[in-house]
Amino acid sequence: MKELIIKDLHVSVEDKEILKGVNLTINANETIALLGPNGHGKSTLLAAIMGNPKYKVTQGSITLDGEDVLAMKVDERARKGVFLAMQYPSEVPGVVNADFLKAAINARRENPIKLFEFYRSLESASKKMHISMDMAQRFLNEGFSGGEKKRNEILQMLLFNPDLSMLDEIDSGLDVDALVCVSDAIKECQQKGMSFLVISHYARLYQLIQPTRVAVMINGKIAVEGGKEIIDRIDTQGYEWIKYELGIEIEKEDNSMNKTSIGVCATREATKGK
Amino acid sequence: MINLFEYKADNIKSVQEKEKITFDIDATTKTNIRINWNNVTLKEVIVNIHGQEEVKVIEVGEPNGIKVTYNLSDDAKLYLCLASFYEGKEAKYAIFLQNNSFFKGAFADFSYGSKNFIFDCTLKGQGAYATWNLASLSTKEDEKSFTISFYHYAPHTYAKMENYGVCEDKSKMYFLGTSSIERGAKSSSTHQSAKIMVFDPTCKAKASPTLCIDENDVEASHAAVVGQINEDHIFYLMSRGLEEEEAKKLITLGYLNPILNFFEEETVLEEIKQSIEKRM
Repeated sequence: MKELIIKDLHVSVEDKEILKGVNLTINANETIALLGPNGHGKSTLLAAIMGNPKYKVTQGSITLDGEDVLAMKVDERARKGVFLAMQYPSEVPGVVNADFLKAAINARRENPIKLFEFYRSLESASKKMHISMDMAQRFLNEGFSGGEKKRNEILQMLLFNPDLSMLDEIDSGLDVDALVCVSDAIKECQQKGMSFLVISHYARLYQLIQPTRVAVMINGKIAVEGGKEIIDRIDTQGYEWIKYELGIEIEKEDNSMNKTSIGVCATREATKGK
Repeated sequence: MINLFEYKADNIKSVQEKEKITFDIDATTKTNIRINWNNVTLKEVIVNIHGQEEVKVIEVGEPNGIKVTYNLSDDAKLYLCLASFYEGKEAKYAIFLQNNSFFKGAFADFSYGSKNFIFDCTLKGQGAYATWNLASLSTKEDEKSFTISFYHYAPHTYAKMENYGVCEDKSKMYFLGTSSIERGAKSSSTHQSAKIMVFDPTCKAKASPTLCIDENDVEASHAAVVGQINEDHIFYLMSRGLEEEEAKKLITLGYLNPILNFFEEETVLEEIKQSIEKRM
């Protein structure tokens, strides 16, 4: 991969526009930190790049080395070298982890992988991620703890060796040791030339993997781009400074779904402000 | 492995009268039996099992129009595995369980064509225990109906059934049946669940579990799900490079494959796996 170019991308979920004109270019061997308040479209951007059918692209383009990504099916994008480590990986009952991994590796190859070679690469990746080989015989993500799921995502990244890895809050739910082994895996891939687009709310992960560039998503657009100093600033001051310095009003997360909960008078909530 | 209709073992005796045959199995040692229904032209087959050792029966083929009955005496143990590969008209099974007898049944149905399968298990003796697992696949214009019922007549009896189905094309699949706890069957427990995964808008599936409870102090549960394959699962697998068809196949296999755990005999296991592969 030389470059992934996102131009004026508009994306809606259930008729609500989340991304309102995102422009972003990811070059080879770059690690971009994607920050922003909750609910402003960071995960939506990653899901749209991967092609999640729930996210409808209404305007704009995504190209990978000149090829139209939006015209590709999800699996084609994956085989072109795009990988998404999900925030909440699906639990797929009945599908054995090892069978799934083998099928996914074979999808990228002309000839099926030899059993011994598969076993060797799985063993090596499992060791790096501190995952027991027993996990290969369990159902995909089923009954895995939050941390195990995240490590299983990174294990897949190591096995599939994509050109661009998008990591959606890979560090949430990880203990300190797991965070170190995840960041070690990322660093190893950075050295091999892999590009990254990384969402995290914590400076800790970014300190470990040293992003080359930082982008901040506000109101469904990239509001600020710059160097690592932005991470420190957000870590200490939050997002308020963007409002004062750039004059961007930061929309509050829409909680209309959560207005009423147990213990709250629904009628009173509904008539509020009327 | 012996074929019940061809081989006479020391501990198996049979009496035939016209179109009915009765086998008596003296299970003082572990006994493995294979029944091949092809070319069997009877109306009724009765298998009586005495003794405490395990009896494992594998049935292959279709008992078309044959009434099959298994009678388990006190403390008898039966593992019954059914594998179906061809079209069947109607199969009728009856299982009777006496005191502390044990029954574990599994049915792998990957046959082409239509089928009407009726299975009644009567728990007559105290402490009788029964479980049942079914996995079935219907495609094209198949019409498959499974009526699986458990009747608890004695205290401390236990029954559990799990029926799984996959329905494609213009096929129809029905899971019916009743779990009933009769008066007097105190401290009994009965559970049933039915799940059908539908693939196409043209197929028709119905899961209708019924509970009839006529006693207090019992445990009972039922669950029925008819639904489509989970879109998030498909997206997850496709995002790892698997084509949509391949992703669906893996998920479907994952749904049906657990039935294989009940089959021990390699040749039958291989035949079932191949028939699943062929149908996918």
